[in-house]
Amino acid sequence: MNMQFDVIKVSQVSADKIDYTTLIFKVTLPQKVDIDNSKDLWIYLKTLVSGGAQKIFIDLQQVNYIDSSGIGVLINTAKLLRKQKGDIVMANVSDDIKSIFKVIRLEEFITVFNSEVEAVKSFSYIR
Amino acid sequence: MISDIFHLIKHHDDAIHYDSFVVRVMAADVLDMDSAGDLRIFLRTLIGGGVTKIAVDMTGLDFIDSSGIGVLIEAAKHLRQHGGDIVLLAVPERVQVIVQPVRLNRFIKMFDTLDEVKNFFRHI
Repeated sequence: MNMQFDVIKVSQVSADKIDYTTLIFKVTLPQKVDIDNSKDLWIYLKTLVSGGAQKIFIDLQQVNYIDSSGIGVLINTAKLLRKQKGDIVMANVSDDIKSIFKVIRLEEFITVFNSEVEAVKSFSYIR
Repeated sequence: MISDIFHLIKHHDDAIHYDSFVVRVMAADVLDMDSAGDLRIFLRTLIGGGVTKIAVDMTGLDFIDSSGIGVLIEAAKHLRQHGGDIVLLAVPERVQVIVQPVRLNRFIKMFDTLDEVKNFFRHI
């Protein structure tokens, strides 16, 4: 299952050392996030966070199905990131998926934005 | 970057066994001064996080310059310090003519098929 990763730079500093406070890792999830690929998603997110990533933005634009294992990965990543002063946010959530998030009140734990611009902007306040 | 994971061995516990899978990263369009920086950050963060086996799939790559090659070499050095390695997969002719003169193939292994890549990583 392919996953797409983009690096968004908040400030343009080209140094040899990577300053993770200025970087947002954008992860575009595939159509389906279920038990078959949530382990891989966890590998990516856990590894990026252990590697230093502090700001992760999950784009759910393509997602039309997510199960409990996928949601578990997002929650675990949020917990990991908040331990090291980072955070995870989501955007472009379809109405169907939103209704799933609503029942379990996920939006109270992980902030959901309407657009990528808002999501990226939210990170400029985290130090 | 588009990326996926190939498991060499299936583990059924919750821990992540970094020696048991290969991360494939697709290099698309061009790897030059502008785009190589993002690949460098992505690879370095993955390696810093524990990944040891990386395959860069060059099927869709049109052009690579010295900064792109630099990113691959830097990743190779980092990975080998941790007992891992990086390989190139499906290097197209148009890219071969660029990397051949600098003998990149002597430093980083190149394979044509995914099976060869899996085989290689099974034994390191």
